[in-house]
Amino acid sequence: MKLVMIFFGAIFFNNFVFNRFLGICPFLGVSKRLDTSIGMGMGVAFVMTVASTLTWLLQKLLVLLHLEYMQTIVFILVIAALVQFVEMFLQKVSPTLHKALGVYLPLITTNCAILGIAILNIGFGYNLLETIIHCLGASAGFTLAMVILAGIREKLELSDVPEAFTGVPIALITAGILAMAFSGFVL
Amino acid sequence: MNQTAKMIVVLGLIAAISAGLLAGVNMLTKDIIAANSEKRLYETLAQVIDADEFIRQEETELALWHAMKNGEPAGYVVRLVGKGYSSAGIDMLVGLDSEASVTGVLIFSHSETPGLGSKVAAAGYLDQFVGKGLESPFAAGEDVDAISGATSSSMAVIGSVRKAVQFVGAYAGLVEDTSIDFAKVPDGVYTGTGRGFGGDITVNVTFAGGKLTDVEIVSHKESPNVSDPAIKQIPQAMIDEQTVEVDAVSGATMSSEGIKAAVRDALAEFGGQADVPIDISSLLPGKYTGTARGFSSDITVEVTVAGGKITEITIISQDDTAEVSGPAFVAIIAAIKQEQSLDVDLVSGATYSSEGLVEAVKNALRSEGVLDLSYLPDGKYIGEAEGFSREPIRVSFTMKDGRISSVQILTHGDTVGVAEPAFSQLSSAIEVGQTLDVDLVSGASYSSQGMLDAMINAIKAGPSSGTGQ
Amino acid sequence: MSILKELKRGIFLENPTFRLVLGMCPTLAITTLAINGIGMGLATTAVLIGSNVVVAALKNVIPSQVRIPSYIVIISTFVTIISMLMEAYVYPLYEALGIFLPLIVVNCIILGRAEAYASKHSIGKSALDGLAIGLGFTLSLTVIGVIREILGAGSIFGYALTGENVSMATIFSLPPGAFFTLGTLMALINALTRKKSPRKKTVAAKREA
Repeated sequence: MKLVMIFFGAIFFNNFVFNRFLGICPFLGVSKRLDTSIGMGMGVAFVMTVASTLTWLLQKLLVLLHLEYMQTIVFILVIAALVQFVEMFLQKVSPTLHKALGVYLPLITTNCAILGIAILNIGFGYNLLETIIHCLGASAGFTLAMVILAGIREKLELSDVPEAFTGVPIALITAGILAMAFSGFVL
Repeated sequence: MNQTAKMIVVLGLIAAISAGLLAGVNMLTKDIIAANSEKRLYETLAQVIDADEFIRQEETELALWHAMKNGEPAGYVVRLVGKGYSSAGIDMLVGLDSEASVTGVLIFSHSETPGLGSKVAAAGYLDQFVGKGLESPFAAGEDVDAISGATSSSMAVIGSVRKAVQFVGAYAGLVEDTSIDFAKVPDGVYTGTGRGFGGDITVNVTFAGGKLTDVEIVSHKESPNVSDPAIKQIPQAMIDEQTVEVDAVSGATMSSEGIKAAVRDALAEFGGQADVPIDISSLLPGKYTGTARGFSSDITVEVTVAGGKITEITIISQDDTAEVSGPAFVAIIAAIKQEQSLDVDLVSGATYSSEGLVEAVKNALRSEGVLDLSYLPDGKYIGEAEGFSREPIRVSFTMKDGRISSVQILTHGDTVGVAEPAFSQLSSAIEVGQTLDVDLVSGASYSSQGMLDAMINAIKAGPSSGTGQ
Repeated sequence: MSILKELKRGIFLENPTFRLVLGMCPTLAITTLAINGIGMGLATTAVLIGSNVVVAALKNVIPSQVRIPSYIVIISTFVTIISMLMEAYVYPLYEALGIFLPLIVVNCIILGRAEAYASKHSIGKSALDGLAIGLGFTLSLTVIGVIREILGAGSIFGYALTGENVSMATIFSLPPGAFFTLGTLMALINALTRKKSPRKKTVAAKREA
């Protein structure tokens, strides 16, 4: 039951984009087209889950060594290294997948959702299974947000938006309206 | 090669310098951070009790702080997590004074549904607990309210407060001790431990000739100078007054309480508050009502006892889904009546309801009940109890076809002019009303109560052979 | 004056929030109150100056293949130091910023300045650049914070502007309000700059590129 709550909670009530404000940069940057949104979502889901598993294990080590204050530096290095590694690995093993996800990987390093969820998992005191479920839910929520926004933005391109609002401003306003819809899950 | 080596060296150096820097800043700030977090905790704790200093008690079942005001003990703060609707639970603080009465309740964090469950966190709801203590049942709808639509959140909060009160009651020795009857303790040496200010205090308690003759403190970890008066005075006071409940030595309250707790622990087997099994055959005839929590609401039952047997169980009120609990209730009631035991199998599929019913019956039988004289077997009854004076009041009465008659005082030592009019007034009231539920006579309440007690004792003793004295 | 010019560039022409659209997460998340905006802005500025200076100082030492990991280590060191200091000395702000304090590490503004500016310029210039961009970020966060605090909570820097009976547009304290405020402000700035002088079109054009 708790796992189910964590999963759906991360998708709807605590949607990373609309509620926690994590991963806004790729959310705004990549959500211009539907297919790129899905690709980014998949990449985030993958890196998020692997990175959180690794950082969860590392946190145990840090606590053991009384080095909790090294959390940020260790986590971000792990994420950066992981992204590098995944890119090299994909290039070698599955060029098709690399072609699909490759362009998004460098962007993911500086996606605050990855570091954010790693830190959140520790803060919430989740165990390993809960951590993984949380990552799956969060990335599903992230992808959902991107896909919805991308769908709307594709349509917006054809519509007559006031000049000052073209580009990022109208995307933000749209996101705001979506965030209102998502806050409906909370109340 | 040279290039790679340089890369590794540079990266390693940067990492090493940054680790060194962080360790340095951590050293500088960690004491301040720890002090801040302690200060914040105290500020939070001070919201539930008026105190300026808090001392964490180590190794207790629930997190417990001693609250001090101007250096004097002011009470306790307990932190506990209640299971509400959400899995994370409701993390709360309960402040209690030295008598285990609630001084304040604060919800630290909860993840109940916003809008419904979160209503329990509102100050207005939590204020209702203030002033309630060991004597309060903490029963929803009785002395405390549950928020409708947020029952399980409310129940979690109520349960937590009750638990905190009982925990502090036990910790501070307010609960079990009063029932330790020194006269019943066999001669011998008993060992027990209690928690003082610095750690465990171990005592050897010696009884000889039905009296407490020695309390020896075998080991303790109290601060030497502060606790000395307590260690000297408390054992002597216990021996002088023949009770565990002596006044704490001021300035060494926790050491005093620790010694008292240790003595209580040593004598625990003679006055504990263990869940006494209900002996149905010894129950007085009459009707008993009790309430317990069922699946979705409280179940109230009325249990009829006659001739040492449960003859009838009636459900007075319950909202449990009738289709589910109805047959369950019928089955449970039949089982209890047949086996004359409360240890019956629960009905699967309606476990909560069955459990609630059994618990309600237990609560009923533990309660005082309304004595129903009509269930008494025929015969003559004699009993005695203490009245106003030391000399017992002896009472006799006759039962015939469920009716009480010839209530007589055989002997008594109370003031004749006051007690006797009261006795005759009560006798006629009992015979007219066919009940012992009569008003005490004002001005002679001890004598009246003594007479009623004597009658109860007579009923407990059962009818003597028809002739009697 | 080149210092003033630099500041003007950081605060207005290359304002990280409104012009470069960087560091959106903290911009949206913590600007419920003006004071949080200032706190976040100044914390980021401190990290930015620190990392810019160190990166500029080490620009000839760090081999280019490992520059990104090196920058990340340098940045996260400063972030951790700042967050420890904040926890020790300005705890309420530390608590308000929450997870977004460690997340300064992944604020693209900082890595961006290290890569694009500090690794190519002198220590002094890099420090000034950090200050200018940082102040630009701080200013944007504060403006958004002030607007959201006034509309959402009816106060400014914690001082109540309205009576207790006035119910404010709480939505501006909630996530949707963050998006609305930022989007509208951006559009406003677009509209103003485009009309005012045709020269600035280059900047706008660059942004869209």
